[in-house]
Amino acid sequence: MTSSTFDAIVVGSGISGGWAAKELTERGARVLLIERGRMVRHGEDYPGEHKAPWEFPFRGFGDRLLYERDYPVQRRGRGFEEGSVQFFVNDREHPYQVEPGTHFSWLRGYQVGGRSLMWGRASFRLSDFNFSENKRDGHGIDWPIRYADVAPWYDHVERFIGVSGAREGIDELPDGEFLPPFAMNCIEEHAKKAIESRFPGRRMINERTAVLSRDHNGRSACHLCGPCHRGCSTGSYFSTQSSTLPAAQATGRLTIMTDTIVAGVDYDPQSKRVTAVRTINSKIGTHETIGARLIFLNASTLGTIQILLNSRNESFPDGLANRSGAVGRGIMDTLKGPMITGTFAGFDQFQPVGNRPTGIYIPRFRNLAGRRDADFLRGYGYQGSGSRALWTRGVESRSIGPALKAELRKPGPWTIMLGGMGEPLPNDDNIVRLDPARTDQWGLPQLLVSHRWTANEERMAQDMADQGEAMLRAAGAVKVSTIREIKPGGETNHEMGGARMGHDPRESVLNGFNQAHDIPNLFVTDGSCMTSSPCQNPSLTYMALTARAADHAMTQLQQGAL
Amino acid sequence: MGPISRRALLRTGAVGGSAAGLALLGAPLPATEPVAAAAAGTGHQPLLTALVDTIIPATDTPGAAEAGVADFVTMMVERWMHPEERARFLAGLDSFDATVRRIHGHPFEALPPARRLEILQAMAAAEEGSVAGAPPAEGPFLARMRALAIYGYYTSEAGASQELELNLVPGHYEPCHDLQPGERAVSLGRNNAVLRMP
Repeated sequence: MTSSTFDAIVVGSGISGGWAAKELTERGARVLLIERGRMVRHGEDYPGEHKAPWEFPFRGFGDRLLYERDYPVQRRGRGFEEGSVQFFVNDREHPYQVEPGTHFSWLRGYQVGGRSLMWGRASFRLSDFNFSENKRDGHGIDWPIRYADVAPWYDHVERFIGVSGAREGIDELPDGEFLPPFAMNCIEEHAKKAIESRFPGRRMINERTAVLSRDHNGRSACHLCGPCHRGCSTGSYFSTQSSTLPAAQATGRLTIMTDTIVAGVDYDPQSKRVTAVRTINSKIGTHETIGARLIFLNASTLGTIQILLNSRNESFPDGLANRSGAVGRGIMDTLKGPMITGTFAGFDQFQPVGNRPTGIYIPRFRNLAGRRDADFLRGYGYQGSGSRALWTRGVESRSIGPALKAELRKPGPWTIMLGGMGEPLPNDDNIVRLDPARTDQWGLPQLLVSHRWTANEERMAQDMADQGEAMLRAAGAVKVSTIREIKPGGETNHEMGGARMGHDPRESVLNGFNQAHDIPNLFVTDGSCMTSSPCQNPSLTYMALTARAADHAMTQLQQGAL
Repeated sequence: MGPISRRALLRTGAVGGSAAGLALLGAPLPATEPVAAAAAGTGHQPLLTALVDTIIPATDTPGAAEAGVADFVTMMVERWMHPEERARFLAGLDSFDATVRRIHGHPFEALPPARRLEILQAMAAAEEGSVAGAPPAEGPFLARMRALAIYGYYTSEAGASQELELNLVPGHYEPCHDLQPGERAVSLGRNNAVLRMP
């Protein structure tokens, strides 16, 4: 039975769910925000923040035996460590299956704020070039939108969250509304000059980051402590807690329900609308049905697919909004793994002060407009940074005694690290479905993931490694070491697709406003909506698409169309 | 402001700093969980203390013994290593102890510091390339011992904030700060604000 009715229900409180809650409440809707995990209070629930190494039981290195047992997947994620482990799920308690012979690491944060608490903060716009690339090379289906549709919403999002970066005038990486960038250090400036002069057409720019270089919208400028993913009580990087949640709460129209799993969404074949969500209280096991006029799914890419597939009914026997059969198909992740580290001689008189929360970026230079200059389709960029080696290098030296201390008292040599980030081809063989046999502790079907990289990605990864080496050598690196292996899908934390947007209801799940083709009051605005997976980090796009969809939904709701 | 006083101020939320809003940093730091002192029963503490203090001795700053690194090593052996790694490490320690007693007629911890240093330097040279693997879990015995001593010392309060520079909340950013005479390396830095072992 329906216990109460809201204008809108938002499922999930991470990066996109927080934005949905903010935009919908600000447009006048009474919103219920449902989060399957626990409450994390801003500032008060960041136990790792500003801790010194000796204040951790394992000095920051972490409880290896515990992590191997309970966090075998999560520990592979970038931000996972002793100061942030509390923001990652326990893999034993939250199982999923991977098709034998394939690999997929599902990184998750089940709490208010989701992964907005420990995300990497890189914030780049997609370009018209990206939105038209499926159509151009024939892989995947055409995006139903272009840059002009999203550009004003990128502006809207950037103005609110604060993105530090520099305007560069690069067509394939549009400029935005930026706060001043965090400056490059001397080795990065040096490498930038060398790379840009030796490789015409390549650029090395400041990584654009959702961290404040100045006070902004009542939030404080970054204080340069370093490990952002432990939480930031000054709200200096974008998280649900620092940004969208307080804005939504300020309207007086937000209700938050934590520790509540959405098992499914109810559909009324008469009105052809979704009517309610069915929930399970994860602590006491009680079930409830809660009604709303509008439902936004922001449960994270795989979480949203799970809800859709688990919401089968007579009208949608293969899963809600799944007449196309596209739900769960075409799972993507940014290709990552190849990493190049160059060691430099000189510049010994400099040492950065402060732990800059961002780095440098080399935008995509392969297969740009009108060119085919590689043995693979699409392209990649690099995130990276220059820094001086720490005392940890002592483990590799042979010194013992006073000589060891003297050696490590000096800053180590400068190094520059480049990590490739590539665009995979859309691939319908990468699938998420419900496991036919296994369930979780609440009796819900587990997910079964099948994900493989293809030869195109393998060739791209080799080029990432080769070009990274060539650029660091050109910049004068005296030693270069390279990792060439591709990481399993999911480990870039950019899993996306599976409820893609498209023109045609026969091959896509959502229209150009993130609205289910067959169900006008159902919106999906997390990563599952993505039709391709460009090499730029995607979260800023999820935010912009969410704000745009919320605007469309509220306009339609107020016009009586929903 | 030195690192200790800044940290003390951080706990009270009284840091001004150059970045606006640092007064908000007063979220209470939870008490550190006690590290298990699992040395009891192994009887290796005097030898471990002598080993880590030979690898990182007192100079104008405290050495590894004063910094409590032997307790860290014991904790890592008991709670961080896999059973087979632990057994191999303890066997290596016993073998080292027996060899020193046989050759030098005294336990390692009873030898003068200069002699201890010679022994370890000779051993480090002999170990070069002998066993593959990344310490502290793998590799030859002294390489594992050395790695544990280094990880333990430079993450201790003395190692991180007296031997090296530590400012947990710098509050400002200078990309190319000019090092002054006597200025030391930082113990946490960009890309290394989070420590990882191999």
